[in-house]
Amino acid sequence: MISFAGGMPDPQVFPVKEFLQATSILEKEGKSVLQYGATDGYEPLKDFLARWMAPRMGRVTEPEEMLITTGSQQVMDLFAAVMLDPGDAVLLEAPSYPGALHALRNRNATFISVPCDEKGMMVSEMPAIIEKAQKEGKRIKFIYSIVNFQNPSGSTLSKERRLQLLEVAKKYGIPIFEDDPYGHLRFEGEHEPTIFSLDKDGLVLYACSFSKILAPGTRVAWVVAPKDVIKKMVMIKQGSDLCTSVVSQALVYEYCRLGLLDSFLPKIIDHYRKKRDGMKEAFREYLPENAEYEIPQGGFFYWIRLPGMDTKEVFYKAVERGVAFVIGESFFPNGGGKEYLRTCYTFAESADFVEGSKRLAQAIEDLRK
Amino acid sequence: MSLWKECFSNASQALQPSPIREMLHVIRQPGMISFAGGMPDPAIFPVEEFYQCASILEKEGRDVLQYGTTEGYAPLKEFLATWLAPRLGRTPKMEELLITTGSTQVIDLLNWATINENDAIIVENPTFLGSTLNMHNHGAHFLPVSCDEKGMLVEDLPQLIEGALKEGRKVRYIYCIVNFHNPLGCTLSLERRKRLLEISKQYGVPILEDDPYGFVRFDGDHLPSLYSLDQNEGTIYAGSFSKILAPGTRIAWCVGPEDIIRKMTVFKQGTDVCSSVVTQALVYEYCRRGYLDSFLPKIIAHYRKKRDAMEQAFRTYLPKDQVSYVTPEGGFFYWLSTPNIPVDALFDKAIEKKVAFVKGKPFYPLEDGGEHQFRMCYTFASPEQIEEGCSRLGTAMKELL
Repeated sequence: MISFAGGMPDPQVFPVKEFLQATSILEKEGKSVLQYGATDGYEPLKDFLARWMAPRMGRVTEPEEMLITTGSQQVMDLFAAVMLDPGDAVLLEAPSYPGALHALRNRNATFISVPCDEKGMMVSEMPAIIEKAQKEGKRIKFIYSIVNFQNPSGSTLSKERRLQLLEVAKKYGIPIFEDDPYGHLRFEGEHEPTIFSLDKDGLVLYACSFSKILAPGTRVAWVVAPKDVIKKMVMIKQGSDLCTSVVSQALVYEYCRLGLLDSFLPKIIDHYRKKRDGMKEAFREYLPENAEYEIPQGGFFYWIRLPGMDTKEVFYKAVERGVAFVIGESFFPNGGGKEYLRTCYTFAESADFVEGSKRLAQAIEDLRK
Repeated sequence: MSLWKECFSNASQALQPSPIREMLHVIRQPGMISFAGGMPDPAIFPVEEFYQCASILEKEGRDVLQYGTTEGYAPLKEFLATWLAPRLGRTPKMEELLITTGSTQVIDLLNWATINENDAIIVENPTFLGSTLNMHNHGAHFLPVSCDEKGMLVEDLPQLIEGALKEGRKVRYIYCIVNFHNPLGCTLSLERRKRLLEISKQYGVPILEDDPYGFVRFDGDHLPSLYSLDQNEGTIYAGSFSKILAPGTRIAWCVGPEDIIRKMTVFKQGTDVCSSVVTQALVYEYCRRGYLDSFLPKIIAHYRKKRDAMEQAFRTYLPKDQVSYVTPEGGFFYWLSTPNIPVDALFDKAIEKKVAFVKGKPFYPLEDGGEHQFRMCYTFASPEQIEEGCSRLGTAMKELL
């Protein structure tokens, strides 16, 4: 079986040796690293991140504006606890990330979908959507957007739309959750400014993670938001897991302090750029003419439309043929997406791209017979 | 920031900072001797041994840096299943064991799996604050049951449960810190363990057996776990590496029937996907090398001395006949009662003298007790600090009498 399904990093590009260098901190700082840590995070790591992120955030954020979490999944879990009563609505991209939907469903949230194109969320549609929902008596608590190289669509919200989104947020009094796990993995083109950095009214919560720029096994992520929001999230975290593994945070910090984050990141980007290109070539060669997809400028995924087909049926055929992907329906909170599928190019071996694409094409062909 | 505040959920608007955390601000003063926080002594952390375990990151780096399974790092689970067998009465199956990010997460996941708004949880009165904080966040209703030196007064349970059922309330589980209770220091007697299981079976209310301190026993024999005595799959057993290795790892576990473990695992996917694989692997390597077994007796001996030092200091410095306490056979805490001294006044006086403890009231989930009780932790302070701190406390008490 060749899997293009799971959205995992390539273990071939994990900085195993570099990470090992960082373990010296367990000897030097063992007594504090093995003790209970502060709920808001390991202070040296928070200081590092505030400075390292300054170009993206537009300023050096204050310690009280930042919280370290056990993966960015926990950001959604804590934020949802702070914001949502049962039945409250969240405005989000359709399609969106199933893990986020999972955490929101746990809080009995309702979803209001915003359609997307290759420039991300279609912000111009939002006022009508919001006004309709409000007329129906829905309480919209926040807007959730994966701004760069979105999971699953691969699209990036344009700068123009980021500015429009802030206007919408301000006009309707609805804050924004800017989720950015992939933003650092840009293969070409210029970084778009974060919504956080464009915001002048304290309307944005920004989340990022070490999962894609170092390694997901660390389970270290962070969130930056207005102080009163962070304070509430810290109180919830005290009751959820008290603090994130201090051992893990200290190792990540030492890796950063030694300059390894900055020196290794370009290697990760190069590695994934090549894989994106490899999959593109295989798709061009083997996928049917009418398959539609954009070339992502970063991140992990291709999002493919097979006009007139049901990708669930394609999936069963594909698995018979020995290739896996994720069907589009999994990403739509309110239904839809039958013609879509997601493939991930980071985890599979480049050598399997051609064979996997051939099998996918055969599966599609099987159904057309 | 009014926009955000308007968007906060009802639960988070009502959320107040924990009284212990507020207290910590007062306690962080130069010269303060603190018996407040329930922290291990960093002097007894196995720093060198743990550092050696970093070798696993070289050998297994590619697995360890990748996403892990939500259930936990398989080698660690296999180790725990074997290591826990004597305590659990059998070797649990892999499907019965879940690794969590600290044992607070066990409570969080169980509450996700069982609690709807206003469902009841039976808790010891008083009990551990971190647990009740999470229960509160899930909208649980508390049914507190009193305790004596043998733990929970289990004979009070039938009436309590029947009363709740009459109100139409669902009683979801009984939360019990079985050994060297936090904050009481007491251990549930064997007789009561058996009776608790009978009641649990009779009313169909399962038990969460929380046992973070059980391995840290100074004297006497280990009592069989509720889990091992239970014939009806009505018990979830929770344990942690926080007290037997180091809390900075945030690695804990729970063992229970497959169906509830499966539900908890699904909720864990939504809360943090998996616990730090890096840390789980380090902890596993520490165990695999035999350090857990070789180092644990040192931890126990270290804390036994500290407990003895504190009791000796109590005898020397605290006013006789004005204080009562039970000597804990393990764990981290003394629970003191001062019938003639209100603890609010004692706390202020003690802070003046630069010694700190935790007042009793916050441990009572309904705040219906603790005016004359407080908790002292002996594990964190040095023996010299224990002596000096108790001397200051004694002076503070005498001034109030």
